[in-house]
Amino acid sequence: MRTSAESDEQTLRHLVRQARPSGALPPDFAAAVWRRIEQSQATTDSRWQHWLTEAAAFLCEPRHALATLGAVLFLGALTGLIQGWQQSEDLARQRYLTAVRPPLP
Amino acid sequence: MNPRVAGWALLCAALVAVGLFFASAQLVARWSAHRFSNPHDDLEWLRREFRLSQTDLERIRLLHEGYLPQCREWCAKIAAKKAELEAELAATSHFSPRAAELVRELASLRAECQIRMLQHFAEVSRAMPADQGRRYLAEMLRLTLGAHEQTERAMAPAVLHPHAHP
Repeated sequence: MRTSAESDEQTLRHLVRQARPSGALPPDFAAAVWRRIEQSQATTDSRWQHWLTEAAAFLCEPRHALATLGAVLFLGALTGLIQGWQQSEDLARQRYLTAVRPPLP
Repeated sequence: MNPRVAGWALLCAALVAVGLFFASAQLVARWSAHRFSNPHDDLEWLRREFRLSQTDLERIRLLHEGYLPQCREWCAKIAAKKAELEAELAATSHFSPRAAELVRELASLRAECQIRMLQHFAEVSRAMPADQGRRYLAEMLRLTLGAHEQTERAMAPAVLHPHAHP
């Protein structure tokens, strides 16, 4: 006696066989695929080149260049201030130790 | 603009920006470290590290100013004894009994100086709030005696520490 699971499997196989695409691919299918890949690469390259040109043009303007320079210097100075605060503790400790510690043997 | 030229221009700009960033950070760090450390006050580190009140700091300043002339006096004695020892060693080709005596005297002066220093640390720690005082004393012992211990440990052969942990 056939079980209901076997019957379901038979039905499923039949449906899958029917759903499989039939017929030959169009004659220029491969060429069309390659054409689409090349187009997509060209779009990416041109987007990248466009970005480079835009960024360079942005920096070529004196006020933008000055603003960028100012931002870089400001961030550098801020980093320096944080480092300076940390280093100042070591300096102050060294000064205290030099004052109270006798020379090492 | 030609994308290749734009790329090179951006690369140069990025290199200049990185250079300026590090140069300005370095300059400001050097300037601010000197300024924040308050170079005119030896006790700045105590004030900052142990969060001392003005009253505590003034009390400690009195102890510090009382200790410094003593410390200088001991340092001068040590320097004189050291000079004497060097002269003795230079004068004779062998290690004379007098040189051995001077080495002992020098060690004794250094020990006495160290005792005074530890007494001073104990006095200063008592002038601080209790928990900060304990921390100060522990830190000063680590910073002063620790330096000797490191040298001794480095010079002692490993066999002398059979129970040493890795």
